[in-house]
Amino acid sequence: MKKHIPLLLSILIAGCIDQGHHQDVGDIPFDRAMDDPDFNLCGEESSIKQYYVRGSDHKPAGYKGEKRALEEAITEQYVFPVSESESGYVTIRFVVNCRGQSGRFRVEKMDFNYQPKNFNPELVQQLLDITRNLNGWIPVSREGKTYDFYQYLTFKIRNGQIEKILP
Amino acid sequence: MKKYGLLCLLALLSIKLFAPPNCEIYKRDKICYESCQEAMKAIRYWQGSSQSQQHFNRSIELCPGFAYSHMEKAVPFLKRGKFIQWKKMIDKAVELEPQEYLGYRGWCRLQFLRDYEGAIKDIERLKELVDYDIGFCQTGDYHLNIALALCYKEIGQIDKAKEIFEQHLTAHNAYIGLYDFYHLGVIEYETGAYQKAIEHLTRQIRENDYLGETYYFLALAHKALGNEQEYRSTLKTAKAYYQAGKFRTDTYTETIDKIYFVDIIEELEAANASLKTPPK
Repeated sequence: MKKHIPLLLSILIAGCIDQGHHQDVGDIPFDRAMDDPDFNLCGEESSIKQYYVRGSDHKPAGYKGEKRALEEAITEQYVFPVSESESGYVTIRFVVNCRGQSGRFRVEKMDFNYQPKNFNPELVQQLLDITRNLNGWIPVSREGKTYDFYQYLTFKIRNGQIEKILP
Repeated sequence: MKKYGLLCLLALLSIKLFAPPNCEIYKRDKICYESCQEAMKAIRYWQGSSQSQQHFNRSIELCPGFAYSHMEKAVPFLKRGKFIQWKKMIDKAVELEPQEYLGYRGWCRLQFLRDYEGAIKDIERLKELVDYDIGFCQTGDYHLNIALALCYKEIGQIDKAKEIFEQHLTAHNAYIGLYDFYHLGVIEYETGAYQKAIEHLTRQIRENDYLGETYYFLALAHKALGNEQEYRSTLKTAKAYYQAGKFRTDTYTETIDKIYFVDIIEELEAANASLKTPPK
Protein backbone atom coordinates (compact mmCIF):
# COMPACT_ATOMS: atom_id res chain seq x y z
CA MET A 1 0.00 0.00 0.00
CA LYS A 2 2.85 2.32 1.06
CA LYS A 3 4.43 2.16 -2.37
CA HIS A 4 1.17 3.51 -3.87
CA ILE A 5 1.06 6.59 -1.62
CA PRO A 6 3.25 8.80 -3.89
CA LEU A 7 1.11 7.80 -6.87
CA LEU A 8 -2.14 8.54 -5.02
CA LEU A 9 -0.74 11.86 -3.82
CA SER A 10 0.29 12.89 -7.30
CA ILE A 11 -3.17 12.00 -8.64
CA LEU A 12 -4.75 14.06 -5.86
CA ILE A 13 -2.48 17.05 -6.51
CA ALA A 14 -3.06 16.81 -10.26
CA GLY A 15 -6.78 16.69 -9.56
CA CYS A 16 -6.61 19.87 -7.48
CA ILE A 17 -4.56 21.69 -10.12
CA ASP A 18 -6.94 20.48 -12.79
CA GLN A 19 -9.92 21.79 -10.79
CA GLY A 20 -8.37 25.25 -10.93
CA HIS A 21 -7.93 24.95 -14.66
CA HIS A 22 -11.59 24.13 -15.17
CA GLN A 23 -12.70 27.66 -14.55
CA ASP A 24 -14.05 29.19 -17.73
CA VAL A 25 -14.06 32.87 -18.65
CA GLY A 26 -16.53 34.72 -16.43
CA ASP A 27 -17.34 31.83 -14.09
CA ILE A 28 -18.52 32.95 -10.64
CA PRO A 29 -17.78 30.27 -8.06
CA PHE A 30 -19.57 30.46 -4.70
CA ASP A 31 -17.70 32.58 -2.17
CA ARG A 32 -18.92 32.10 1.40
CA ALA A 33 -17.49 35.50 2.40
CA MET A 34 -19.81 37.43 0.15
CA ASP A 35 -22.52 35.16 -1.30
CA ASP A 36 -25.93 34.28 0.08
CA PRO A 37 -25.73 30.64 1.22
CA ASP A 38 -29.47 30.27 0.57
CA PHE A 39 -29.07 30.92 -3.13
CA ASN A 40 -28.98 27.52 -4.78
CA LEU A 41 -28.31 26.36 -8.28
CA CYS A 42 -30.70 23.88 -9.87
CA GLY A 43 -27.97 22.05 -11.75
CA GLU A 44 -24.23 21.51 -11.61
CA GLU A 45 -21.73 24.36 -11.50
CA SER A 46 -20.32 23.18 -14.79
CA SER A 47 -23.67 23.33 -16.55
CA ILE A 48 -24.50 27.01 -15.92
CA LYS A 49 -25.30 28.47 -19.32
CA GLN A 50 -24.63 31.93 -20.70
CA TYR A 51 -27.57 34.33 -21.10
CA TYR A 52 -26.96 34.46 -24.85
CA VAL A 53 -27.11 30.74 -25.47
CA ARG A 54 -29.17 30.18 -28.56
CA GLY A 55 -29.90 27.36 -30.91
CA SER A 56 -32.75 25.56 -32.56
CA ASP A 57 -33.72 23.96 -29.24
CA HIS A 58 -32.60 26.64 -26.74
CA LYS A 59 -34.61 29.69 -25.76
CA PRO A 60 -32.35 32.49 -24.51
CA ALA A 61 -32.80 34.23 -21.18
CA GLY A 62 -35.09 37.22 -20.91
CA TYR A 63 -36.99 39.53 -18.61
CA LYS A 64 -40.76 39.69 -18.06
CA GLY A 65 -42.03 42.68 -20.02
CA GLU A 66 -38.83 42.72 -22.11
CA LYS A 67 -35.99 45.19 -21.66
CA ARG A 68 -38.41 48.10 -21.21
CA ALA A 69 -39.71 46.59 -17.94
CA LEU A 70 -36.17 45.95 -16.75
CA GLU A 71 -35.17 49.56 -17.47
CA GLU A 72 -38.22 50.88 -15.68
CA ALA A 73 -37.62 48.71 -12.62
CA ILE A 74 -34.11 50.13 -12.39
CA THR A 75 -34.65 53.79 -13.22
CA GLU A 76 -37.69 54.05 -10.92
CA GLN A 77 -35.51 53.18 -7.94
CA TYR A 78 -32.22 54.82 -8.84
CA VAL A 79 -31.68 58.19 -7.17
CA PHE A 80 -28.25 59.76 -7.15
CA PRO A 81 -27.22 63.41 -7.29
CA VAL A 82 -25.61 64.81 -10.43
CA SER A 83 -21.87 64.48 -9.92
CA GLU A 84 -19.24 65.22 -12.56
CA SER A 85 -16.74 62.79 -11.08
CA GLU A 86 -19.08 59.79 -11.43
CA SER A 87 -18.76 58.73 -15.08
CA GLY A 88 -17.89 55.40 -16.63
CA TYR A 89 -19.27 51.88 -16.60
CA VAL A 90 -20.44 49.73 -13.68
CA THR A 91 -20.94 46.10 -14.62
CA ILE A 92 -22.70 43.69 -12.28
CA ARG A 93 -22.27 40.03 -13.18
CA PHE A 94 -24.36 37.37 -11.49
CA VAL A 95 -26.03 33.98 -11.72
CA VAL A 96 -29.76 33.37 -12.22
CA ASN A 97 -31.00 29.93 -11.30
CA CYS A 98 -33.63 27.88 -13.14
CA ARG A 99 -36.36 29.41 -10.92
CA GLY A 100 -35.40 32.96 -11.90
CA GLN A 101 -33.71 33.78 -8.55
CA SER A 102 -30.40 35.63 -8.66
CA GLY A 103 -27.22 35.45 -6.61
CA ARG A 104 -23.38 35.59 -6.58
CA PHE A 105 -23.14 39.24 -7.60
CA ARG A 106 -19.77 40.60 -8.73
CA VAL A 107 -19.03 44.21 -9.61
CA GLU A 108 -16.51 45.58 -12.11
CA LYS A 109 -16.02 49.29 -12.63
CA MET A 110 -14.15 51.18 -15.31
CA ASP A 111 -13.87 54.65 -16.79
CA PHE A 112 -14.63 55.56 -20.40
CA ASN A 113 -11.08 54.54 -21.34
CA TYR A 114 -11.71 51.00 -20.08
CA GLN A 115 -9.42 51.50 -17.09
CA PRO A 116 -10.40 50.31 -13.59
CA LYS A 117 -12.05 53.12 -11.66
CA ASN A 118 -13.51 53.64 -8.22
CA PHE A 119 -17.00 55.11 -8.11
CA ASN A 120 -18.73 56.58 -5.08
CA PRO A 121 -19.58 53.47 -2.99
CA GLU A 122 -23.14 54.72 -2.46
CA LEU A 123 -23.75 54.76 -6.20
CA VAL A 124 -22.39 51.22 -6.62
CA GLN A 125 -24.33 49.94 -3.60
CA GLN A 126 -27.53 51.37 -5.00
CA LEU A 127 -27.02 49.66 -8.36
CA LEU A 128 -26.19 46.44 -6.59
CA ASP A 129 -29.30 46.59 -4.38
CA ILE A 130 -31.54 47.36 -7.34
CA THR A 131 -30.03 44.52 -9.37
CA ARG A 132 -30.44 42.11 -6.44
CA ASN A 133 -34.14 42.97 -6.22
CA LEU A 134 -34.97 42.44 -9.90
CA ASN A 135 -37.46 39.62 -9.97
CA GLY A 136 -38.52 39.23 -13.58
CA TRP A 137 -35.76 37.01 -14.94
CA ILE A 138 -36.85 34.36 -17.41
CA PRO A 139 -34.30 31.54 -17.41
CA VAL A 140 -32.72 29.93 -20.42
CA SER A 141 -34.89 26.98 -21.43
CA ARG A 142 -34.84 23.94 -23.62
CA GLU A 143 -37.87 21.82 -24.43
CA GLY A 144 -39.74 23.30 -21.48
CA LYS A 145 -36.95 22.74 -18.95
CA THR A 146 -35.28 25.80 -17.44
CA TYR A 147 -31.58 26.16 -16.63
CA ASP A 148 -29.23 28.23 -14.47
CA PHE A 149 -27.43 30.96 -16.40
CA TYR A 150 -24.89 33.77 -16.15
CA GLN A 151 -26.21 37.28 -16.73
CA TYR A 152 -24.69 40.72 -16.49
CA LEU A 153 -25.96 44.29 -16.46
CA THR A 154 -23.73 47.18 -17.46
CA PHE A 155 -24.71 50.66 -16.40
CA LYS A 156 -23.26 53.45 -18.49
CA ILE A 157 -23.04 56.28 -15.98
CA ARG A 158 -22.53 59.92 -16.90
CA ASN A 159 -22.28 62.53 -14.16
CA GLY A 160 -23.83 60.13 -11.69
CA GLN A 161 -26.88 59.43 -13.87
CA ILE A 162 -27.73 56.23 -15.75
CA GLU A 163 -27.30 56.97 -19.45
CA LYS A 164 -27.80 53.43 -20.72
CA ILE A 165 -28.42 49.96 -19.38
CA LEU A 166 -26.74 47.16 -21.32
CA PRO A 167 -26.74 44.56 -22.82
CA MET B 1 -38.30 36.79 -50.06
CA LYS B 2 -35.79 35.80 -52.73
CA LYS B 3 -34.40 39.32 -52.61
CA TYR B 4 -34.10 39.11 -48.84
CA GLY B 5 -32.23 35.83 -49.12
CA LEU B 6 -29.89 37.26 -51.73
CA LEU B 7 -29.18 40.26 -49.50
CA CYS B 8 -28.34 37.95 -46.60
CA LEU B 9 -26.06 35.90 -48.82
CA LEU B 10 -24.29 39.01 -50.13
CA ALA B 11 -23.86 40.30 -46.60
CA LEU B 12 -22.45 36.99 -45.42
CA LEU B 13 -20.06 36.88 -48.33
CA SER B 14 -18.79 40.37 -47.65
CA ILE B 15 -18.50 40.56 -43.87
CA LYS B 16 -15.35 39.68 -42.06
CA LEU B 17 -16.22 36.58 -40.10
CA PHE B 18 -12.67 36.07 -38.92
CA ALA B 19 -12.44 32.55 -40.21
CA PRO B 20 -9.54 30.57 -38.79
CA PRO B 21 -6.30 31.56 -40.49
CA ASN B 22 -4.61 29.26 -42.93
CA CYS B 23 -1.66 28.03 -40.90
CA GLU B 24 0.13 26.77 -44.01
CA ILE B 25 1.17 30.33 -44.87
CA TYR B 26 3.31 30.41 -41.71
CA LYS B 27 5.19 27.22 -42.56
CA ARG B 28 8.47 29.04 -43.14
CA ASP B 29 8.32 30.39 -39.59
CA LYS B 30 8.30 27.28 -37.45
CA ILE B 31 7.35 29.05 -34.19
CA CYS B 32 4.46 31.04 -35.67
CA TYR B 33 3.28 27.97 -37.54
CA GLU B 34 3.10 26.17 -34.21
CA SER B 35 1.35 29.19 -32.68
CA CYS B 36 -1.25 29.04 -35.43
CA GLN B 37 -1.73 25.33 -34.81
CA GLU B 38 -2.33 26.08 -31.13
CA ALA B 39 -5.01 28.61 -32.11
CA MET B 40 -6.64 25.93 -34.26
CA LYS B 41 -6.69 23.64 -31.24
CA ALA B 42 -8.20 26.45 -29.13
CA ILE B 43 -11.20 26.94 -31.41
CA ARG B 44 -12.06 23.26 -31.28
CA TYR B 45 -13.12 23.78 -27.66
CA TRP B 46 -16.17 25.64 -26.36
CA GLN B 47 -15.53 29.38 -26.60
CA GLY B 48 -14.36 30.75 -23.26
CA SER B 49 -13.60 27.31 -21.81
CA SER B 50 -10.39 26.86 -19.84
CA GLN B 51 -9.05 24.48 -22.49
CA SER B 52 -9.66 26.99 -25.27
CA GLN B 53 -8.04 29.81 -23.28
CA GLN B 54 -5.01 27.64 -22.47
CA HIS B 55 -4.37 26.93 -26.13
CA PHE B 56 -4.68 30.62 -26.96
CA ASN B 57 -2.23 31.43 -24.16
CA ARG B 58 0.22 28.92 -25.58
CA SER B 59 -0.30 30.33 -29.06
CA ILE B 60 0.44 33.88 -27.86
CA GLU B 61 3.41 32.69 -25.83
CA LEU B 62 4.91 31.10 -28.93
CA CYS B 63 4.26 33.99 -31.27
CA PRO B 64 3.22 37.19 -29.48
CA GLY B 65 2.70 38.89 -32.83
CA PHE B 66 -0.06 36.50 -33.90
CA ALA B 67 -2.97 38.95 -33.78
CA TYR B 68 -5.71 36.40 -34.46
CA SER B 69 -5.11 34.68 -31.11
CA HIS B 70 -5.26 37.97 -29.18
CA MET B 71 -8.57 38.84 -30.84
CA GLU B 72 -10.16 35.41 -30.53
CA LYS B 73 -9.01 34.92 -26.92
CA ALA B 74 -10.75 38.20 -26.07
CA VAL B 75 -14.19 37.34 -27.49
CA PRO B 76 -15.68 35.49 -24.46
CA PHE B 77 -14.54 38.33 -22.19
CA LEU B 78 -16.58 40.72 -24.31
CA LYS B 79 -19.65 38.52 -24.39
CA ARG B 80 -19.56 37.91 -20.64
CA GLY B 81 -19.18 41.53 -19.53
CA LYS B 82 -15.48 41.48 -18.63
CA PHE B 83 -14.68 44.57 -20.60
CA ILE B 84 -11.41 45.69 -18.98
CA GLN B 85 -9.74 42.42 -19.91
CA TRP B 86 -11.37 42.38 -23.36
CA LYS B 87 -10.09 45.84 -24.18
CA LYS B 88 -6.50 44.98 -23.25
CA MET B 89 -6.51 41.96 -25.54
CA ILE B 90 -8.33 43.52 -28.48
CA ASP B 91 -6.02 46.55 -28.28
CA LYS B 92 -3.09 44.22 -28.79
CA ALA B 93 -4.74 42.70 -31.86
CA VAL B 94 -5.44 46.18 -33.25
CA GLU B 95 -1.88 47.28 -32.54
CA LEU B 96 -0.56 44.28 -34.50
CA GLU B 97 -3.03 44.42 -37.40
CA PRO B 98 -4.96 47.69 -37.40
CA GLN B 99 -6.43 47.20 -40.86
CA GLU B 100 -7.84 43.85 -39.86
CA TYR B 101 -9.26 44.66 -36.43
CA LEU B 102 -10.03 48.38 -36.16
CA GLY B 103 -13.48 48.05 -37.72
CA TYR B 104 -14.26 45.05 -35.54
CA ARG B 105 -13.21 46.80 -32.33
CA GLY B 106 -15.19 49.88 -33.32
CA TRP B 107 -18.32 47.83 -33.90
CA CYS B 108 -17.93 45.98 -30.57
CA ARG B 109 -17.60 49.30 -28.75
CA LEU B 110 -20.87 50.39 -30.30
CA GLN B 111 -22.73 47.11 -29.89
CA PHE B 112 -21.71 46.14 -26.37
CA LEU B 113 -20.91 49.42 -24.65
CA ARG B 114 -22.61 52.19 -26.64
CA ASP B 115 -19.15 53.78 -26.68
CA TYR B 116 -20.05 55.99 -29.62
CA GLU B 117 -16.97 58.21 -29.46
CA GLY B 118 -14.66 55.19 -29.30
CA ALA B 119 -16.41 53.51 -32.21
CA ILE B 120 -16.20 56.69 -34.30
CA LYS B 121 -12.45 56.96 -33.63
CA ASP B 122 -11.86 53.35 -34.70
CA ILE B 123 -13.98 53.40 -37.85
CA GLU B 124 -12.64 56.77 -38.98
CA ARG B 125 -9.06 55.65 -38.39
CA LEU B 126 -9.75 52.58 -40.50
CA LYS B 127 -11.13 54.77 -43.29
CA GLU B 128 -7.92 56.81 -43.24
CA LEU B 129 -5.76 53.70 -43.28
CA VAL B 130 -7.23 51.82 -46.22
CA ASP B 131 -8.16 52.71 -49.76
CA TYR B 132 -10.67 49.90 -50.16
CA ASP B 133 -14.22 49.35 -48.90
CA ILE B 134 -14.10 49.20 -45.08
CA GLY B 135 -16.69 46.43 -45.09
CA PHE B 136 -19.35 45.35 -42.66
CA CYS B 137 -19.80 45.02 -38.95
CA GLN B 138 -19.29 41.63 -37.34
CA THR B 139 -23.00 40.74 -37.28
CA GLY B 140 -23.42 41.67 -40.94
CA ASP B 141 -26.35 43.95 -40.10
CA TYR B 142 -24.66 47.15 -41.21
CA HIS B 143 -21.97 48.47 -43.47
CA LEU B 144 -19.45 50.16 -41.19
CA ASN B 145 -20.38 53.51 -42.80
CA ILE B 146 -23.91 53.06 -41.48
CA ALA B 147 -22.58 52.03 -38.05
CA LEU B 148 -20.57 55.27 -38.10
CA ALA B 149 -23.69 57.27 -39.00
CA LEU B 150 -25.60 55.65 -36.13
CA CYS B 151 -22.84 56.67 -33.71
CA TYR B 152 -23.06 60.28 -34.87
CA LYS B 153 -26.81 60.16 -34.49
CA GLU B 154 -26.55 58.88 -30.95
CA ILE B 155 -24.19 61.68 -29.91
CA GLY B 156 -26.57 64.23 -31.36
CA GLN B 157 -24.66 65.10 -34.56
CA ILE B 158 -27.73 64.55 -36.70
CA ASP B 159 -26.56 66.45 -39.79
CA LYS B 160 -23.34 64.48 -39.89
CA ALA B 161 -25.30 61.23 -39.47
CA LYS B 162 -27.66 62.13 -42.32
CA GLU B 163 -24.76 63.13 -44.54
CA ILE B 164 -23.05 59.75 -44.06
CA PHE B 165 -26.33 57.90 -44.68
CA GLU B 166 -26.95 59.83 -47.89
CA GLN B 167 -23.39 59.46 -49.17
CA HIS B 168 -23.47 55.74 -48.52
CA LEU B 169 -26.94 55.02 -49.87
CA THR B 170 -26.56 57.08 -53.04
CA ALA B 171 -23.08 55.85 -53.94
CA HIS B 172 -22.61 53.86 -57.12
CA ASN B 173 -23.20 50.17 -56.40
CA ALA B 174 -24.22 51.02 -52.84
CA TYR B 175 -24.99 48.08 -50.66
CA ILE B 176 -28.31 48.65 -48.95
CA GLY B 177 -28.45 46.93 -45.62
CA LEU B 178 -31.42 45.21 -44.08
CA TYR B 179 -32.21 48.07 -41.70
CA ASP B 180 -30.65 51.18 -43.29
CA PHE B 181 -33.87 52.91 -44.31
CA TYR B 182 -35.47 52.08 -40.97
CA HIS B 183 -32.79 54.01 -39.10
CA LEU B 184 -32.82 56.86 -41.61
CA GLY B 185 -36.60 57.04 -41.23
CA VAL B 186 -36.27 57.16 -37.44
CA ILE B 187 -33.72 60.00 -37.70
CA GLU B 188 -36.11 61.99 -39.90
CA TYR B 189 -39.02 61.31 -37.57
CA GLU B 190 -37.06 62.33 -34.50
CA THR B 191 -36.02 65.59 -36.14
CA GLY B 192 -39.56 66.42 -37.19
CA ALA B 193 -39.18 65.71 -40.92
CA TYR B 194 -42.29 63.51 -40.95
CA GLN B 195 -42.85 63.35 -44.69
CA LYS B 196 -39.26 62.27 -45.27
CA ALA B 197 -39.64 59.74 -42.45
CA ILE B 198 -42.65 58.25 -44.24
CA GLU B 199 -40.67 58.02 -47.49
CA HIS B 200 -37.75 56.21 -45.87
CA LEU B 201 -39.89 53.90 -43.74
CA THR B 202 -41.99 53.00 -46.78
CA ARG B 203 -38.77 52.26 -48.66
CA GLN B 204 -37.68 50.09 -45.72
CA ILE B 205 -40.90 48.08 -46.03
CA ARG B 206 -40.21 47.68 -49.74
CA GLU B 207 -36.65 46.50 -49.08
CA ASN B 208 -37.35 44.31 -46.06
CA ASP B 209 -40.92 43.98 -44.84
CA TYR B 210 -40.12 42.11 -41.70
CA LEU B 211 -40.18 44.55 -38.80
CA GLY B 212 -43.01 45.65 -36.54
CA GLU B 213 -40.72 48.53 -35.52
CA THR B 214 -40.91 50.07 -39.01
CA TYR B 215 -44.70 50.20 -38.84
CA TYR B 216 -44.55 51.71 -35.37
CA PHE B 217 -42.50 54.70 -36.50
CA LEU B 218 -44.48 54.94 -39.74
CA ALA B 219 -47.63 55.21 -37.62
CA LEU B 220 -46.07 57.93 -35.47
CA ALA B 221 -45.07 59.93 -38.55
CA HIS B 222 -48.64 59.67 -39.90
CA LYS B 223 -49.96 60.75 -36.52
CA ALA B 224 -47.68 63.81 -36.52
CA LEU B 225 -49.02 64.79 -39.95
CA GLY B 226 -52.63 64.28 -38.87
CA ASN B 227 -53.20 61.25 -41.11
CA GLU B 228 -55.52 59.62 -38.57
CA GLN B 229 -56.62 56.64 -40.63
CA GLU B 230 -53.09 55.66 -41.71
CA TYR B 231 -51.86 56.19 -38.14
CA ARG B 232 -54.35 53.73 -36.68
CA SER B 233 -54.12 51.07 -39.36
CA THR B 234 -50.31 51.16 -39.41
CA LEU B 235 -50.14 50.90 -35.63
CA LYS B 236 -52.35 47.80 -35.78
CA THR B 237 -49.98 46.32 -38.35
CA ALA B 238 -47.07 47.03 -35.97
CA LYS B 239 -48.87 45.07 -33.25
CA ALA B 240 -49.72 42.19 -35.58
CA TYR B 241 -46.12 41.97 -36.80
CA TYR B 242 -44.78 41.97 -33.26
CA GLN B 243 -47.20 39.26 -32.21
CA ALA B 244 -46.14 37.19 -35.20
CA GLY B 245 -42.53 37.41 -34.04
CA LYS B 246 -41.57 39.92 -36.73
CA PHE B 247 -39.29 42.25 -34.82
CA ARG B 248 -35.58 42.72 -34.35
CA THR B 249 -33.60 40.60 -31.98
CA ASP B 250 -29.92 40.30 -31.30
CA THR B 251 -28.23 37.43 -29.53
CA TYR B 252 -26.11 39.62 -27.30
CA THR B 253 -27.42 43.15 -26.98
CA GLU B 254 -30.32 45.48 -27.61
CA THR B 255 -30.37 46.89 -31.14
CA ILE B 256 -30.32 50.62 -31.83
CA ASP B 257 -33.75 52.30 -32.23
CA LYS B 258 -35.33 49.24 -30.63
CA ILE B 259 -39.09 49.29 -29.98
CA TYR B 260 -40.80 46.87 -27.61
CA PHE B 261 -44.28 45.41 -27.58
CA VAL B 262 -45.29 47.60 -24.66
CA ASP B 263 -44.42 50.73 -26.69
CA ILE B 264 -46.87 49.66 -29.38
CA ILE B 265 -49.56 48.76 -26.85
CA GLU B 266 -49.20 52.08 -25.04
CA GLU B 267 -49.49 53.95 -28.33
CA LEU B 268 -52.57 51.90 -29.27
CA GLU B 269 -54.15 52.70 -25.91
CA ALA B 270 -53.44 56.39 -26.45
CA ALA B 271 -54.98 56.15 -29.91
CA ASN B 272 -58.09 54.47 -28.53
CA ALA B 273 -58.37 56.95 -25.67
CA SER B 274 -58.23 59.88 -28.08
CA LEU B 275 -61.16 58.35 -29.98
CA LYS B 276 -63.22 58.28 -26.80
CA THR B 277 -62.36 61.85 -25.78
CA PRO B 278 -65.07 64.15 -27.07
CA PRO B 279 -63.75 67.09 -29.13
CA LYS B 280 -63.55 70.39 -27.22
